[in-house]
Amino acid sequence: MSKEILNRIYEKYDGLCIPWTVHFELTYRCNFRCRHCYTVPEECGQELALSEIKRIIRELEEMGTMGLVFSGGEIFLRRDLMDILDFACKRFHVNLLTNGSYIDRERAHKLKEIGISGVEISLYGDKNFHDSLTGVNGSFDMIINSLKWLKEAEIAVTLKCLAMKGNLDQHGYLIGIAQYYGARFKPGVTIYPRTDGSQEPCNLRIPRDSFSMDHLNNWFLEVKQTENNKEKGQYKNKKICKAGRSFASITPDGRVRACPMIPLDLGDLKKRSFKSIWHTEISEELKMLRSFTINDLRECSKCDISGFCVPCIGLNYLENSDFFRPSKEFCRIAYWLFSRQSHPKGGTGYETALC
Amino acid sequence: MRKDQHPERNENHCVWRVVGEEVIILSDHSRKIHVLNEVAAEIWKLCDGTKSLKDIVSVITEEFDVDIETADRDVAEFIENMCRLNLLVLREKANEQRDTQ
Repeated sequence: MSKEILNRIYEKYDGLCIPWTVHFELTYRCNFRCRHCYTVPEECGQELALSEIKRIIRELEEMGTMGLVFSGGEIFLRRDLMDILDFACKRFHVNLLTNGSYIDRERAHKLKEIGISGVEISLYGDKNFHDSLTGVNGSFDMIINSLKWLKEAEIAVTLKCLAMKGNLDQHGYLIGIAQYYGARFKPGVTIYPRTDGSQEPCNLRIPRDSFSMDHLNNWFLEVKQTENNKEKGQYKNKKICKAGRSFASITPDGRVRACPMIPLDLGDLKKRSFKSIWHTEISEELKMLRSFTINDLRECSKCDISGFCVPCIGLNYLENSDFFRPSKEFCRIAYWLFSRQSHPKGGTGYETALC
Repeated sequence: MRKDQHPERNENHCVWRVVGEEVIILSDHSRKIHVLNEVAAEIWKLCDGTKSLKDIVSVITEEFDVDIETADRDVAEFIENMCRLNLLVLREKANEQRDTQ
């Protein structure tokens, strides 16, 4: 696909404030208790009913939205999930985020028949590590089974693997699993605080003293390819991210947000249409989010290594209760990337960059 | 391809939206995005299986400042390309008008 065409479409959607993709959280209920999870189930009211979800999906179709990402919690805990997917897949490019524990052979083939575009499953390490992180014995085996059935059903799978305290040396093992099951390997390095501001998940972030250049080169491979060509000042006067314009999020009880990581409620879909919340009767909060530019990130705009970073106002806010104060975690990651370029073959680099 | 055939969008394998004067199509099979300009967008919208190729050429000739030979050629070329991409199929008989929702 031509990158130019894609960028032009994204810009068009961004300019018209049409969500290209909507991250639709269907439930916060979950059978796993992952220690790094950002959701706060207690904050959620009555989940949207099937009829309400269908109405919202129709509204998004009319607005021009192309893609839906259904997420949770664990989406398969909704008994009406297949009805939702059947309805959505007739109208949208649909991806699922699931922990994989409820995908058996029958469900995998049903997902294929319905027309799911892709499934993303998180795996954090070997059986010991994964089960201890999710708090559920046997969760690793459940995922391996789901990968088997999804492969058989020929569904595109992305295996998301988050680097954290305790699994840094398992990168190769995780890639091996992804390759064996024909899944795309998608490493990640950012652990977010909870949406109520709790920093507890951050205790699992990669500890400084356990980081080596070998780990850096493995886990940051994708980041390197996408981020390290940017030059300082490239984003001057530009919007910070797509959240609030061409990207939106919906909570299980129908609150519209600009992004799952920006816990500002912009309107209630149980009372209003998506279009009125997004286009015609816009809240002050949404107006504010849309007004942000890179220049508002005062510290970032002066930073010498900003080329190694894509600022995230959501993470800034969750860490600092301030959209513009830089996330220490993103600064840390930027330093790692900078140091790798400066010292690609040896040393910790990270230490050098901080000195 | 004959002029009495009825092109129909292969809606099971793509998602499409009208955005301004353009049509954007996301193909599930090829995972490609296609952006149609104003004329192509109009042809695409007409391909609902109820109109023949001849009907479509007639509408395009009326709506745009174009002679019938050019419209004939352009519509045929567009439909052939879209069939090759599995985004359109050709029906021998016209579909009845239906509610796609």
